[in-house]
Amino acid sequence: MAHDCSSFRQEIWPTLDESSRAEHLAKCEDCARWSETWSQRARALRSLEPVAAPDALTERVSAELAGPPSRLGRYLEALVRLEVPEELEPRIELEELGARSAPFLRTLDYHRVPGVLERLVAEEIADPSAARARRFVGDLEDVDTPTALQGRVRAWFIRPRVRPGQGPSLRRVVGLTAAAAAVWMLLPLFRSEPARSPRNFRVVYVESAEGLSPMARALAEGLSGTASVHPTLLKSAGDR
Amino acid sequence: MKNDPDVELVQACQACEAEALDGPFRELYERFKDRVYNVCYRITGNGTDALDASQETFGILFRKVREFRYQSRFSSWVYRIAVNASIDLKRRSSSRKLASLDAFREARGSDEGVRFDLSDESVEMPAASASRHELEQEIQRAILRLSPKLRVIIVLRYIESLSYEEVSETLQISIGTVKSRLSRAHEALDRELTPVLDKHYLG
Repeated sequence: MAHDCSSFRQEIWPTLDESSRAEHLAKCEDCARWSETWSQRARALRSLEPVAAPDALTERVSAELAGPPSRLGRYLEALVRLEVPEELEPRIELEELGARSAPFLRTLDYHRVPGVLERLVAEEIADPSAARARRFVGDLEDVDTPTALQGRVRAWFIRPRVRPGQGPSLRRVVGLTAAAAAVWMLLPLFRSEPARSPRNFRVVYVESAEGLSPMARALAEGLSGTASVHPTLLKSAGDR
Repeated sequence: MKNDPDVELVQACQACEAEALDGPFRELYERFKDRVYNVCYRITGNGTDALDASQETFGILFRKVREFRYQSRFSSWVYRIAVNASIDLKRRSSSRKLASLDAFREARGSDEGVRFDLSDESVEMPAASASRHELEQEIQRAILRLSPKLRVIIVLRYIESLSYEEVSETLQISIGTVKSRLSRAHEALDRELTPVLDKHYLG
């Protein structure tokens, strides 16, 4: 193959216009054959049917825009490609579920012991039976109403009602109540006032605790720990 | 970049945050979804990988659209992302079944068995349809046998019909490199395609 033909095929041929190409091909049998062969190849390539994008692509692109694929989704996709046994799929899902839940579980509040627990434990130690009884009182079984009680209630509802005139009338009850109230209000007027004993206070100044009466000193010591409180008060308390 | 038909739409996308596939993002998606998917499909060679690569492409596109600086056509930028996503995906998963795993997954839940995604060929005779489908699959396999670099340039140039300049922008290589790489791709593809076309009496 001549050098100019190589150049023609590699560099110029694809970009040459139709008349220039025809001019060269008319002169060069080799290139004409090559051109014919390659035109055939190019036609074969162009005969390939264009493949339209399937609907699945739209779904996938929409999903991708909506958010990144989940890790589980990627795992399952990979499993399908690897053609692993089907039994593995639910196990992977469970693993993923656990891995996904763990961070959320860790965020749960750490609950501290409530103050009431201390008291309940103390009660349990002090009197186990009583504490247990209190604890289990809520677990007692609900007792059904005995049939006898139902019978009694039914009997009460169906017993004959008291006819007017047979029972105490409302007027009589009100009259008796008013009379009792009047007596109760007038009663203090007839009582004699008891003679009240006059209370006398005497102020005694003392220099030291020894001057107090024994009772006053004991009281002073009980209140303050010593008898060095204000003597006026101590004396006053001792004289009463 | 002058004469870029996508500028206004890109500016609208840059003015708002992508939170859902609506508004200008929806329009952008509709404008590019088939091109992106087609490129991904031809580079990866199967529907499942193409779907993954396309999803990744649009994910990157919507996250990074604000960073686009109009130094190339927007479509070149989109193609670049799609090409890189497809090659990365292909590199990560070297062996993959040709049958769509999505179809397999759906079939697993029903009693229909494995279904393959066949395009509507009701207008053709069954034999012609089968032959055409077979040819298409063989051409696709021939493309897949090329190295990633040559495969990408063939897809962009002959399947997406990009100009040399657009290919250069998309792959961020010089026009000269585009030409030399295309030349190597021609030779490699010729080796792969000749037996296929001969088999179908097209050689």
